[in-house]
Amino acid sequence: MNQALNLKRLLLFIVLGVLLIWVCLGSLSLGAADISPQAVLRIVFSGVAGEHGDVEHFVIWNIRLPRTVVAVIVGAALAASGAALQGMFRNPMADPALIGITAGGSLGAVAAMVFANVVSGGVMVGEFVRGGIGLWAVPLCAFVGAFVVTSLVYQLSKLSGRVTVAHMLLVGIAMNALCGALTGLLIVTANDQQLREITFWTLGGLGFVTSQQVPAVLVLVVLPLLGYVLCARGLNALMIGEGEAFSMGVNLEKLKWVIVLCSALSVGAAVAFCGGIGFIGLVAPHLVRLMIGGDHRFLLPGAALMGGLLLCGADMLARTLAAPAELPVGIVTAALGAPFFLFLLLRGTRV
Amino acid sequence: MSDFFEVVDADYVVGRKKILFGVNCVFRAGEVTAVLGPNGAGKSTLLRLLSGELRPTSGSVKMLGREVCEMNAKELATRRALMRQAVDITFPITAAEVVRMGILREGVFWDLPEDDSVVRNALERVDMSDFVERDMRSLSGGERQRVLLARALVQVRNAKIDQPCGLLLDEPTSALDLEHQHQTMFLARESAAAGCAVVVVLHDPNLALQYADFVIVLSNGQVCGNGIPSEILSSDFMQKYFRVDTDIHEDSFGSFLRVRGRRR
Repeated sequence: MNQALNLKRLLLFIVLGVLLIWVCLGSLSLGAADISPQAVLRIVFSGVAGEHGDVEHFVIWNIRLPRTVVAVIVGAALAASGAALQGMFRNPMADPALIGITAGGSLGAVAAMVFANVVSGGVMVGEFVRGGIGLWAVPLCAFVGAFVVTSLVYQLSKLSGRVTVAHMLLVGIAMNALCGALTGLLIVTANDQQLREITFWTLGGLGFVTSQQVPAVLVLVVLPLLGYVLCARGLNALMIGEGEAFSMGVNLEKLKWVIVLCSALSVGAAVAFCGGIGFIGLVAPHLVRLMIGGDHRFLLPGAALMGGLLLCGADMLARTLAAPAELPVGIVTAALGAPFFLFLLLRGTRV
Repeated sequence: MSDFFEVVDADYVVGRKKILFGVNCVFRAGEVTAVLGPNGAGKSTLLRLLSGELRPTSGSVKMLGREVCEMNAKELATRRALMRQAVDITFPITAAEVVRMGILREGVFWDLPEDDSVVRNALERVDMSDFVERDMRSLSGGERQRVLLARALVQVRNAKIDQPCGLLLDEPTSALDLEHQHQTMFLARESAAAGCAVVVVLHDPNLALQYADFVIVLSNGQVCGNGIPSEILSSDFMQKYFRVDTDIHEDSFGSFLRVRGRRR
């Protein structure tokens, strides 16, 4: 019955996969020192080898590979979280930023950055974020912030009985404002150096991640992705309404809990490691929906691939457009994402 | 035929507002029961209590002798289907995909080819076979309603006399043309004959007179009429609870009702 659609889905996955590999190779070979793709492949497959001691090896394994891997999985996490939240809220504009997850994460991270100065007695925040004891402080605080806000949003919207989406959105808006105010308060107390750090971090970037952090990013981001895929059928049922979904045996409370928890985990981690990267969560799911329809069993993995591709590509641009200087990747995603989104809207496409 | 749904002294209260109170009624498999009442009388709430979506504030709602709100969502899904009033759809989804969901396949990631005939058959029953691959958002309100009806029918397709199911339809005819209003009621009758307890919220008393075995009339959250449609829907009754002047006519097909206008 839907042979054509299945073929389209298969084709999209293949194309996205090939593009992703191509962009990853590009991202590994481009930079301050250009390394040919052949050399990149040879170095990657020869494994970590400090004893070789050659520069290219070091650059690939310690700088570019962690960064590329983080770009792909953070992009995938943001895109899949966007798709899942849009499905749960039955709202095409839903985004991790909408219900306060990003704001909560930012509050936690900024708190860590500002108080780091007090705790570590004047060590520059940059040092603190990148190394030493503080390696985990910012991500941990960001996750706690994201998690506290999402649980609060969920609990507060439950006060009136069952969790309705409209209620949850309104509570999310209130939490956004509150977190924004608290973050502002922290920023007022920050010193100039911290202010600079916070501003760059807010703009979003992948340069903060060290290779020791990569396993943590992987776990925090890949587990929620699996959680989303398990929710796919429930999200499909939600497309025709909460009542119909309940009629078909979807445990709505459980579904919402799983999605809230997973998005707090993955978005919290993403915010902590890479700051505010916008538009991936909004644009990637819509692009995939336009191509293969709204079935979440295919939309969620498709959006993840698309998100990884977009963020990796954006980071490549961020590193090369103004070389040797580096643009914050959040600027690139917003600068490309926003006009694209407007184009979609103006073209009259239903998103 | 034994009672499929049994509602005993059910109240449903939100804050200080009593949406339903002291509701007693039963719904049997093999019968079509119409639920009538003015806007805001509590008809949809009654349906949501029956489906287990809402929990009664006090009293009980039972399905085949078991408390509905004690049963889990999965178990309920195999015993009853609910079609809600107009739903808004934000994301692309085809008519076939909507109907296919009614089959309730769980773990299978890929769709099973043997499900195709179930989907096609259901869309045929609601006259929507030409719209199989159409995006739901491009359909008119009435067409969309028919697809959602097909989905609910698929969910209770395995109902048998000795294994009854509940079919709860909330205003399934509200956006339909005349032909399909009657077709929908015909399908409700067919489902009842197959072994469903069909509960259908209606506004047109003539559809109730023509197709329902029983009628339950709600007014301000209370049951004010419960029985055989032609006995309940008298001229006086219509004037008292629906505030309209009516003539009742009888012919060889049964009785029907002509509304002269608003009560003066």
